[in-house]
Amino acid sequence: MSVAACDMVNPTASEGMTMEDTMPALVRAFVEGGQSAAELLSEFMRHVARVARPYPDAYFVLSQKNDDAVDDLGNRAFSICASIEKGRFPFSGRAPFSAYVEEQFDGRTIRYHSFYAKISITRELLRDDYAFNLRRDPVLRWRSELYADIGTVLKATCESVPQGKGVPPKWQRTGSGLRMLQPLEVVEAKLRKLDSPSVEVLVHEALSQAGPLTQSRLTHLLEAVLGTPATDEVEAGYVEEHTADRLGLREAVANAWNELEPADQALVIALSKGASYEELISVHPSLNNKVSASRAVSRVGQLFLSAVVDAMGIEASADATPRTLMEPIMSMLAELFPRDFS
Amino acid sequence: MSAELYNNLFDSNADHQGADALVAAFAMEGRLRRAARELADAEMLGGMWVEEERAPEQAMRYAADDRDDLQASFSAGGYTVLIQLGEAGWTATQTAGTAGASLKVGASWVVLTPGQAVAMPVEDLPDTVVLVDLSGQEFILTR
Repeated sequence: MSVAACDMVNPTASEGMTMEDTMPALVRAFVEGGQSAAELLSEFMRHVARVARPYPDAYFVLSQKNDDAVDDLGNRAFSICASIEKGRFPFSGRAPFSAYVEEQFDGRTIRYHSFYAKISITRELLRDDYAFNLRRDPVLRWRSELYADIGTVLKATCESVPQGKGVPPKWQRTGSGLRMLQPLEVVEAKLRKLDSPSVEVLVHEALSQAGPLTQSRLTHLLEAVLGTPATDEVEAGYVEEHTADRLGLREAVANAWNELEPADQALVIALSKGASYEELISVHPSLNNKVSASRAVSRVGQLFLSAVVDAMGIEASADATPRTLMEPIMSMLAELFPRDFS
Repeated sequence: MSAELYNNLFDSNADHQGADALVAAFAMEGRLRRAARELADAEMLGGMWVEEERAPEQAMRYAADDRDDLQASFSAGGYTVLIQLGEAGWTATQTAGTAGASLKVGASWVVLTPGQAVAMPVEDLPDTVVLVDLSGQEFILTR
């Protein structure tokens, strides 16, 4: 066993092996005097590289996993631990390094919260980069849409099986009775033979043959069966080329937003979040009325979206589609009004 | 009905004209963003890429400890089953949940009687066990 590997898992595992866990002292020196930064960062890079090893390209900046991307991840994880206050346990409004010092965490606990826990600082960054890629990368957008379509089928026709706190539920067919479960590889082959493009048919067949599955597992299974589209087959997903004039966009969005009434703004916020009708009504009950809702939709279309698109002249681009036009508007809303749109 | 009007904005097959088409496009983008966030969350919370890190940690624990896990409780849907290795080999004991449930182990069925240990045809502690209740509903029990 290498000293480094042993240090990672249990620095006091074996008697007779003198291994000092340097992590707590490095963090303390950095927090209290700004010292040992290079050494601490080096430790960070080593652990981040290890955590990142099994993750695929989709989890990294520009959907490319390479040395630069992993270094970038390590640097951002370090910056967050050094200076970003986190609300969740165990940080309670403190920057992670400060929390580690105040709580007198040992090295193993520091590594757990920084790198190896299911919800660690590093894995949260990977999650965020993946979510960004899922809405920007053309092929990954297709996966997101598949996930949403599968969710619609599951909520309408299946029942969820809770898996415990903090774990996504699995889904199963209602009243399906006893059946022989098949390994996923067998199920995948059988779904291919079905040769059906229907998400509902494939979901039901998958759950019947494989037993309860999570929505994300179903997404990857159906993606393997249906096959991802080639990049030139999917709708153009990158939109920066339409938004050279970000200052103009900012002004257009801000001006149009101010033209809207509270009900219109509530509708825009709900739409941007993909909120259900029930979620919208709980925030703005006045929209639970066909006339009010219809009026709000018209006003949002004309006074807000059409106004911004016209002001920017971005509809003229040859490859612009309604959806590619919406991405920069949505990003600008999140920038202008982070409390409502982030 | 306003719900129908609203939900129609998220329907990619619906025909929208003029400014309404922009509202529908905005809604579809919002739906996609939500799906992207939820999928990324689900993969993280499900620990999809955590497994590889567990193996060496477990192996090193074995090196220090030199013993396998001898028992674990598995729970879901109000059921809890204790699986342990004793002198009689591996056994399963239902400690919570209604009577009449069975465990599906490979091609075998293990009929549970609450509070009583019954033989389990396994060689190691499984990661999960599949329990089927009297109505045929299936639960994946996890540690």
